[in-house]
Amino acid sequence: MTRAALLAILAALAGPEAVADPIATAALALDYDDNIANAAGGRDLVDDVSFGARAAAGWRWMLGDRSDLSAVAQLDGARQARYTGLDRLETGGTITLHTKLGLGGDAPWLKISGGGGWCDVAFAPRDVWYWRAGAALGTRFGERLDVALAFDYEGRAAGHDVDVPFLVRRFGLRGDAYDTQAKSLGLSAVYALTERLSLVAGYTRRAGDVVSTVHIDREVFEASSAITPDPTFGPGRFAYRLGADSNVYDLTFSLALGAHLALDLGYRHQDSEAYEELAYHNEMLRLALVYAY
Amino acid sequence: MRTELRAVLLALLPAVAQAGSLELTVRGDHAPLADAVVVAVPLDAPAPAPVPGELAIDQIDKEFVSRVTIVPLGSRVKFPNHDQIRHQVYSFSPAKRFELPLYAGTPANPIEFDMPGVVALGCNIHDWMLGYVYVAPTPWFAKSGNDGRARIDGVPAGRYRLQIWHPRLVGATETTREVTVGDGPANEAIELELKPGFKPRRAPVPGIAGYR
Ligand SMILES: [Cu+2]
Repeated sequence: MTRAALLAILAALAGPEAVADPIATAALALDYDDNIANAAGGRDLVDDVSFGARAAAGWRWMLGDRSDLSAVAQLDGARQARYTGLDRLETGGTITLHTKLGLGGDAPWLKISGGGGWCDVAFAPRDVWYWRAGAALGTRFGERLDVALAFDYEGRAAGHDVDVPFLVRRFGLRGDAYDTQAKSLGLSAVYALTERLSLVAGYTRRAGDVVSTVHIDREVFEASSAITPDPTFGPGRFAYRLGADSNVYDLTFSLALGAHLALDLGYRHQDSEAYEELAYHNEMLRLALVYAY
Repeated sequence: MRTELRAVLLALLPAVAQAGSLELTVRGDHAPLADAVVVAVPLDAPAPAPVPGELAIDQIDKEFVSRVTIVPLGSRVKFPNHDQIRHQVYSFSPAKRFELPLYAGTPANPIEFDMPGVVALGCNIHDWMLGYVYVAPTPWFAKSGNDGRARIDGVPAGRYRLQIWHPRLVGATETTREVTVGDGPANEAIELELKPGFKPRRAPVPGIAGYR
């Protein structure tokens, strides 16, 4: 961002017209993942259900007639039914610059966002700092179809790395398996089947690190760039960091239950190819109740 | 004597003596239809210009109140914002193109509606906000209530073309009907052909396309 643009934003934020509008959202979600450990197969395949709650609140400042800047703090927690080592509480913040390239509902919009936070996990070595940056461009076609293209980057740095001394000595593999980076490019479409029922379909191509927790496995071991003990799914297992390319397909039905509330039923299929023949799949389901002020 | 008195009264109150009323029952989808606009345009004489007014269309809980507002031609309309957030009301309609800069409270300058017709209102911040201004070219107009009834009083006797409009009317222009107003009230019933209404959703939508 240029210095002039930054100064203009600061002037708008400090000016007499700079009244901030409140933002508040909250959600309750029930999630199912049939391969929560990201295993390629066999005895490492485990599934689980989690219950999550999320709340976000902040302010939006209008920067003239077409743009706004929002700052939101969010709290996101989840409890697993079985693998309670994954229970987590995420605390973070996001800043988003949004601009509409014109007037009216059909005008394309552009969003640039950045943020980060801390994710506290019940199994402490999984605690991570995370940071995200993204840009999205979207527009409406007619009165029923919204399409958006988004690029996202996410980085994670584990709070406490646990090395396996033998593997460090012998192979130089460190224990920072939860330090990951990934980029993704996604295309999504929202189609209003009726005024209340919307169908959301998305495809995302993700390239970056994944963490897979399995028993000692030669193939996974050779493909990984970091290894650390991970008893989350049972004793004798290790978390491996692997580079992978993933295809993520989303399909969600979203039913409006009034002006501020929606009930979402979503399905996600993800296939990831980590190394030569090493691939794994996830099938995920989500039922969520979402509130927006 | 009786005849003389009658003559005097008629001379004193010509408008009242000759004025009738028009009552229209509007239906659509086989049910009484609210928010239908009815305007009577005289066929035998040029229509007198209506008296312009100073009106207001409120924004309450991120909606236009009322959704359909009839304004006499030449009226000036204010857009008071009763919400704690800002709105940016605009219209692309040929009858009135305008854009109010982002505002809280009531913008100082009202918008003058100086061309008859339908003006669709939107808000650039809240895409679901939809409203309509119907700029009436004559002094005789009414909007139907929840019972589908619209009543226009003080209509001088004569032949009229009724222009009937509704946001969901099939076709962009009004439906018309000819009526004659006499001494007694003229009653008319009309069934409008409606297209399905569609209002952009306000509830949150999952995914990156969802905004606000
Ligand atoms: Cu608005």
